[in-house]
Amino acid sequence: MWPIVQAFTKFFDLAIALFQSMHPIVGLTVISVLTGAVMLVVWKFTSNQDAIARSKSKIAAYILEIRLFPDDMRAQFAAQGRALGANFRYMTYAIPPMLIVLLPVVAILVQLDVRYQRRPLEPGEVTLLKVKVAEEVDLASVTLDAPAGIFVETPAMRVVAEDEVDWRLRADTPGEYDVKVTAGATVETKRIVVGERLTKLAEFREQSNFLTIWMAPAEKPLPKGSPIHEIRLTYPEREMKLAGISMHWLLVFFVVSVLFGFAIKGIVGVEV
Amino acid sequence: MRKFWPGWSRFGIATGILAGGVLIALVTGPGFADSKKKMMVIGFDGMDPKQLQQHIDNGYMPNFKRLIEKGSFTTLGTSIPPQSPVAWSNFISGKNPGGHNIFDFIHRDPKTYLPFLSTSEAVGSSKSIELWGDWQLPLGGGEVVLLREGRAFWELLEKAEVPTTIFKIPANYPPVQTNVRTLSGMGTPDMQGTPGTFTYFTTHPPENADDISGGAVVDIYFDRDKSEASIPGPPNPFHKKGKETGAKVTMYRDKENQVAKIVTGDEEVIMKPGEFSEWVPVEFYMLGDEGFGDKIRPAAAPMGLAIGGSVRFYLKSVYPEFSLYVTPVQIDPLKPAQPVSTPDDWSQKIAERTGRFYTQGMPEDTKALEGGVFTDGEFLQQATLVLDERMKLFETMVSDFAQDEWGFLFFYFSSLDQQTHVMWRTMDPSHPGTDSLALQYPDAIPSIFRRLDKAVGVAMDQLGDDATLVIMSDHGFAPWYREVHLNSWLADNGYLTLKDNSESVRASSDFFMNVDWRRTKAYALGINGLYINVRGREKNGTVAPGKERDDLMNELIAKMKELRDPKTGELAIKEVYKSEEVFQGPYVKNAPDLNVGYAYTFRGSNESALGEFPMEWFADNTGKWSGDHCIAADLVPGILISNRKVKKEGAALYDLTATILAEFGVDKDEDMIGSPVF
Amino acid sequence: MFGGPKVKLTKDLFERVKKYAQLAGYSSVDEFVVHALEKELGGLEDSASEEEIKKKLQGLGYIS
Repeated sequence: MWPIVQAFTKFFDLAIALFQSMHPIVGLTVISVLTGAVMLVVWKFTSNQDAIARSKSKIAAYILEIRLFPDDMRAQFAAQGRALGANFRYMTYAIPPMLIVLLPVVAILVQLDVRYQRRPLEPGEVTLLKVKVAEEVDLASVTLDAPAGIFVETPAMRVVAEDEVDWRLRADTPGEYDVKVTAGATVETKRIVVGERLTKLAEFREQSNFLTIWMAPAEKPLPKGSPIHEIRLTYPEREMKLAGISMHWLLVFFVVSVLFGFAIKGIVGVEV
Repeated sequence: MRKFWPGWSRFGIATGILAGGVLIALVTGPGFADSKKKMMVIGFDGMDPKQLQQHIDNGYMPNFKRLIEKGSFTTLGTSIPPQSPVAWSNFISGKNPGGHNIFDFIHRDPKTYLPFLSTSEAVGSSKSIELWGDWQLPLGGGEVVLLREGRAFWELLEKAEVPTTIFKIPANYPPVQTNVRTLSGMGTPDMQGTPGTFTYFTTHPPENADDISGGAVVDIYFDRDKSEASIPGPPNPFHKKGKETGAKVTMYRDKENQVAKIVTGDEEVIMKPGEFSEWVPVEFYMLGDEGFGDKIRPAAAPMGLAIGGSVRFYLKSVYPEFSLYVTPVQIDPLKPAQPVSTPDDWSQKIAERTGRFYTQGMPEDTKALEGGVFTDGEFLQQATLVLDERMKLFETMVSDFAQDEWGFLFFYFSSLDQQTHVMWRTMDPSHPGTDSLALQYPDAIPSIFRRLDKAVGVAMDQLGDDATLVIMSDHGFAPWYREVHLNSWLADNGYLTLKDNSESVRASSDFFMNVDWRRTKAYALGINGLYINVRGREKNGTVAPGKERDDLMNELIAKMKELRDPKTGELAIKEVYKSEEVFQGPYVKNAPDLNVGYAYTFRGSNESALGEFPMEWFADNTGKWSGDHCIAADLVPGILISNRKVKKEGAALYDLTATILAEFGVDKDEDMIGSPVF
Repeated sequence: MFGGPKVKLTKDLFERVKKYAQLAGYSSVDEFVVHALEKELGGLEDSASEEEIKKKLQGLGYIS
């Protein structure tokens, strides 16, 4: 599964790279627009367009009926009941394609999350690197090697109760680094990004299954059965500001993609 | 076409002039201020003219020297008594204490004789709905009110629309409501509502743990190298008795590697011994204990059931004994539980640029030093963090101000005052409180002078010669060798009667609990205050107002000025000032009747200030708090330095207020007593 | 009132209390005394507790 995830991630790497020199919101907007389009296309081919069109026009007719006979209570109730029924049918037509649309959207959201939720460390900033190992691992055998550019500020902090070893690191110079974590005979690395670039950041590496692997696409999962269970690194939250107003990437994404989808649905002839 | 051209042209010129006029009017604003000048005042609390001159002569202070050569260096008359809240209130209001109502760090309630901090008062939430047990639903939060009276000079600048920034001025908490940017300074409490209460988690409580003031020692133990405890927070408004809230903190240690991990809420830090952490946000939950708090955490804050603060940790040792110092919980400038600035969100805007900072009024932890929780070296490390932080804020404020076209900026530094108080003994081998350890830090105070000189350099370089730059201090400094137990003297001379005169009771009871008020004529309260027990004013007053009071005051003044220290034969009190003679304004009625101006090297004792009665009248001051300035005002003037020539002789704090207003062409209030110095 | 602790007053004070209790419209001397004590205690209890005062003052560097 990992190669597929990697290919999908690579696509986003390239897309983001195109807008690297611009304000982060530019790339985000473009991706949101494309997502809106993709959602619409997926919708078109997974939904029963005729049935949706039919139930929508029925709902409209029943609502008209309610307006036409304001004095006839019985007609009113009947029309309201029929409108509800039509609405229910509309939902049954809409939910399955909605679920199908949801899958790629979640995958896209994860790709955006690893890029827009957090930012790389700035030179001088400190963070914690936390390693969780299997119970049988001797914590004294867990060590860390960092390349020049990353400075390890403390000795290993071994938390026996949690099978955990932590270090405090300081970022010194911009760049992408791999620190080496050793537990007995096992060696694993963890990527640390320092600088201002907009790039994918993995807050953790862990042993994944075919579903969770989609949720952590920024760095390869740890091999199954490794005595190292998890390597975690905290990045600061990214604050995205446009004209002095800070906005969350998720909000930008939803607003742009949904607005775009609705804007072009008439043009491409899709019933939503 | 051509024919019309001249006409159009004239029309064009006319509109041009009109538009230009409108433009100028828009740019300059509709202000009343006559002059668009730029003025900055830097306040160095406690900078002493004699010490400063010495450091200039030693060549430590190139920027001060440069500034003085352009303008002037003179002493600045301080307040009676020369205590910071009083002195800064003189500056803020342009009046003396009779006009601003602050007479001492400590005032008393004449109806109970109980002391309280003079600058602000907490008023609890008045109404609440009873719930079960000890719980209630408070309707509206408690409130803190500023007790300083008199209009602050920046309120006048605001009226004249002078762009103004007032950074950390003392005696302005809670900050006076205004649209001017102000950040409150000395007098701003920690989250517990005290001037500063640290927490000290340790597996090895010191023997004097119960006597340590200004901090709580918490005895902890480790189980599998893990320990859980709680940082004391504000009283819980949902609890009828205001039970203290706590922020859970989990400590892990690695004995072999000598390193520890501290976890509170979502925050984690890893530290080595001897390190201070960065600022860490902490949260206090109002519903139930910490265990329950954990479960409701995500929902608590939005519902107003969690209050945030911020702390820094200092890891003293890991093993064999674990000791962790936690700063007093600060009102978090990023999310202030109570506003520390005007506009309310200004503290947040600053902190977003510079990072969190101490909001507590007196951030140097002299209490931790005095209690033995900090060594001299550790205290200096903490005090240096305070100064580093302040320097960063200073540079930010000055560079902003440098961009402005005009306006006024005040910026305050606490470092010199607080450090000279506790570090005087490091440069004075004849001080009774010094020892060989203290004398290892002879550079403690000179190094601050050098850093403050750098600040002056920054201001000079950024603002240039066109801006008026004023460097001032509120008072100077003196060594404090001998403590005077003035209340003991009053008791032993028949002015104050004790219920029980035995040595054991005299030494142990505090807050005047041992005083028989119905047989007492006078009592000393606060650091310089002496009150006559006046009938009709005090609860159990015995002295009739008028002649009886006057005669008693004169008798006391004469006797006190003859009081000699048996150890040296020196006179202990240089001046005694009658409030009605030295103060003017509507609040003289609240003043102590007399203000005691101690002689050089003397000061009223802590015991006396708190209503205790040791058997002796004098004692050596062997504490760390070894320098002071709460003595006769003429012995400890402040400094006044400017790039302009100071023309006025004998300038005092309230003259600076008049100077600032005059600089911007703003009329001062009629009851302001100063006049411009330039 | 019955069975509760008793308090001694001088005869002179008792007479004064009795006189003003009647003047002020209290139904009994007991009621007046209880009311007066409650009022006075309320004032004392409202003022900050000694411990709280101590904590605040002792946080001040100038006093140790």
